[in-house]
Amino acid sequence: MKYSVHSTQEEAQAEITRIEAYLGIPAVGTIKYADPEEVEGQWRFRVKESGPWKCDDVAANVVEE
Amino acid sequence: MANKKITELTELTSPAGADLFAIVDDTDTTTKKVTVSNLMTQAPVQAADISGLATQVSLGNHEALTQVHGISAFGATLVDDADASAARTTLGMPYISSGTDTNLPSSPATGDVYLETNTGKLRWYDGTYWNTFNYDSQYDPNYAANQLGYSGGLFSSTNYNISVQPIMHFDAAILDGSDQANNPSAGSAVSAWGDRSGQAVNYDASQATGSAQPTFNVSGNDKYVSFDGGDSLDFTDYTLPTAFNVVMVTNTTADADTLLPIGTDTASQYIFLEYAGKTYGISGNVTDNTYGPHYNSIQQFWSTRDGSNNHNIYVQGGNSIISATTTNSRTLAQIGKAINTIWHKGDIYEIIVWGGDLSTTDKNTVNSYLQNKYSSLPTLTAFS
Repeated sequence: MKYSVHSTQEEAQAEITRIEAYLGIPAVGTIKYADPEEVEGQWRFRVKESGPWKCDDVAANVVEE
Repeated sequence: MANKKITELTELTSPAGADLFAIVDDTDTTTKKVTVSNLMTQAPVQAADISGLATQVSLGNHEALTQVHGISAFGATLVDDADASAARTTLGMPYISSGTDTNLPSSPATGDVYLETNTGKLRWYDGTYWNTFNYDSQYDPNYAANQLGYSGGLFSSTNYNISVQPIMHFDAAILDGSDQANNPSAGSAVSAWGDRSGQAVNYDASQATGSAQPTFNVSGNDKYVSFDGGDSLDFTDYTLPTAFNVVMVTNTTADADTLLPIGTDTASQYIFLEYAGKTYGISGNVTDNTYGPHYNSIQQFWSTRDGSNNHNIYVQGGNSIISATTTNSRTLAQIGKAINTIWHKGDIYEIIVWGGDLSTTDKNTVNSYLQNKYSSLPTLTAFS
């Protein structure tokens, strides 16, 4: 599982917004790409590794866990 | 033609085709519409003299034929219904007929349509061949015959009819729950998996967050939804009654830890789970460590409880691997995960939930339906 990891919630949300623009979200049935979650003092969101929403190759600070 | 009162038909001259007649009835002075039928039924003339009037009175061939044959002009084209085939050709209309499948019209024209009354198939002629028209695939008898049929559902009379309508029925082959013709292309993200049960309460499962959406896939005739271990589809909570049955066709991908097709939203609660090689039923205290897992291999499971709280997990039909008595309450909430800690990783083909314990006959009918549908499913053992 890959995550895009950031120091603050704002940074994580900004990266989500950038990825949504890249993927064309919102789209029919899809209103957002992800929500940032706080884990051990960092903010992260999951990035897809396959399928139409794949973005692990374009997201910033991607870490595999 | 100037206005002229006539009292005998023999006074009628040969008018031009477009000429109009005003007929006045001397007895009530009502002006009649000029048609042959008016002349025949309302004009004060002797009936014996009007037979064959349509041809004797040159009102114009179009109007005369209209009255004689009983159909009207279409736009600027007048057709004679006495020759329907020629009329359809003139108007560019297809010929529609019906009969058995062995009696297709021998000399069809392009666009002709034929309903096979013994098969229900609608056929259309493309100029060379009779094609089968399957706009609504639900009415393709070959397709419908192999569906699970139950009252109130998409299909109610098939080769696999059961007596109890499910509470929810998620079938990847009919992803929107309505028609397989609406299935997306392989590789599409799945934001909604429609409940095809036909129940009044709709349990359509959905996911609006892209990073948590599974993917629709196709392999041969099999359709399935692939979950990558972080995907889920949520539906309206459904608290299982004491007696319930759930059947699942699913697999896990290689080296995946968990197989959890349908889950609850409460910690440590599930109705079926394969985790780290063990199989769990409702109660985590009773497990089986002899069966699973079977990575990358399509499997079938039943999780059942009867009215006496007897809970069983069955694999590949009627093979019970867990049997326990439990009154634990469970509320189903999502496909592909339980709460936010246990995720399904792999493919889900079909999930059916009943709010009661099916009869042995119905369980075996469901197994036959699934066995026929999924060619790679292991041989299912009959319930007895």
